[in-house]
Amino acid sequence: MAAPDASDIAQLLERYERPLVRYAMSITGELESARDAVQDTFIRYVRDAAAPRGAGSEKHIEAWLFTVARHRAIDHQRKNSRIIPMPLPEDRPAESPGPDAQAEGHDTESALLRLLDGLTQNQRDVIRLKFQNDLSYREISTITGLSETNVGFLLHTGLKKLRDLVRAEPDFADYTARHSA
Amino acid sequence: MNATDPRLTAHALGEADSESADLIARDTALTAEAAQIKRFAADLRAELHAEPAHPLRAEQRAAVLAAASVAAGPALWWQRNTAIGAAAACVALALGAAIYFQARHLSALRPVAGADKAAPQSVTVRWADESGQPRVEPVLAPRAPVVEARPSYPSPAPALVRATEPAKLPPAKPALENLPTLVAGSTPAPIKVDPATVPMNGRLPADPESTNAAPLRVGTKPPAR
Repeated sequence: MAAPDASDIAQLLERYERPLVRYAMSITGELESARDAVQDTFIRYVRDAAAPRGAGSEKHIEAWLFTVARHRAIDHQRKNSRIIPMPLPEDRPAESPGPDAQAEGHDTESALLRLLDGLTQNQRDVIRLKFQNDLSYREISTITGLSETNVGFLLHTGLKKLRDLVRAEPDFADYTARHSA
Repeated sequence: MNATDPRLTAHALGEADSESADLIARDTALTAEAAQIKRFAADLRAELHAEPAHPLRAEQRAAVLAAASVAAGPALWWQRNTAIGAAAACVALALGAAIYFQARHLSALRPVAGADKAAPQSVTVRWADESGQPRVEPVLAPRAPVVEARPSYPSPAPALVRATEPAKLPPAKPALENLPTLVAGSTPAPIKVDPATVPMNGRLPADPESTNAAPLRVGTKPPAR
């Protein structure tokens, strides 16, 4: 199949680069690694003759991009986990992140999203794919390599645990009272 | 079905089959639980959609678009290499075929028995000296091996080359009679040399009246005045 031209790729970038960077960042935990993973993903899409292309293949293209981005992000996360950070000297104050870094960091995430850290990696993964990217059980199964039954089980247990965390969290007292009424 | 069944969540998320939907619709507790899950899922979806999503950096986007431009170009690197490789393979095949057929042709030419022992050691040459007397002298014959050609293609008659006998040599040609200085033991006629045709070899002619009588000076200073 013919390689996509620059205009096709520009359209794909416009549609998928932000969701992919956000999803990759949920795996790597760091923005620049997530960006590198997504850049690798798009370049591989351009060069891979077996990648889905053309009109009518939007769902296949989306699943392909998320699958490759997930693998790339996991690779980056493993590579970064092997790097041992150098301890700072005690007389040198740690640099505080600038306003841009703070905006890009986790400071802006809501209390509900912080509770996602209480879930397992697989539960977080399928919850983000389902609720953040509106993918079906089948598409999540394709991306993660899990069976559809397993995807359904992880979503069920993940949502149940998240609701339990919300009920136990004092910040969500109003939310719990409103929804249990 | 109860509240711990994953099909309840699947139903709330629109992924369950009609059989599960019927089971849930018949149980009010399950219906209420499914509604709770649906509401919580909607809140979670709204929170996750509001999470900031960052684009690639400008140089990363440019790198991706550049890769797309190269991929959609007239020929990729591997396509060019494939063409070069195909041409090289054709040349190698042609060379291989030429070497094979040449070797096959040469293998048909085999020496019969090396140098022929029965071949004569010399041949006799007849000639005439300057006085017109006939002379006869033996000349060493070449000792090349007798070669029999066995071509692989059809031939009208097999070619067989053998050394000739001395008695069968043709008589000396008249052109050989005008070689007086090559005859051993004979007195060569004096050579007359025309001085006009002899090169000077850098020396001046002996005639003192010649305009070129003065010696040439090369690379010397002119005389002081």
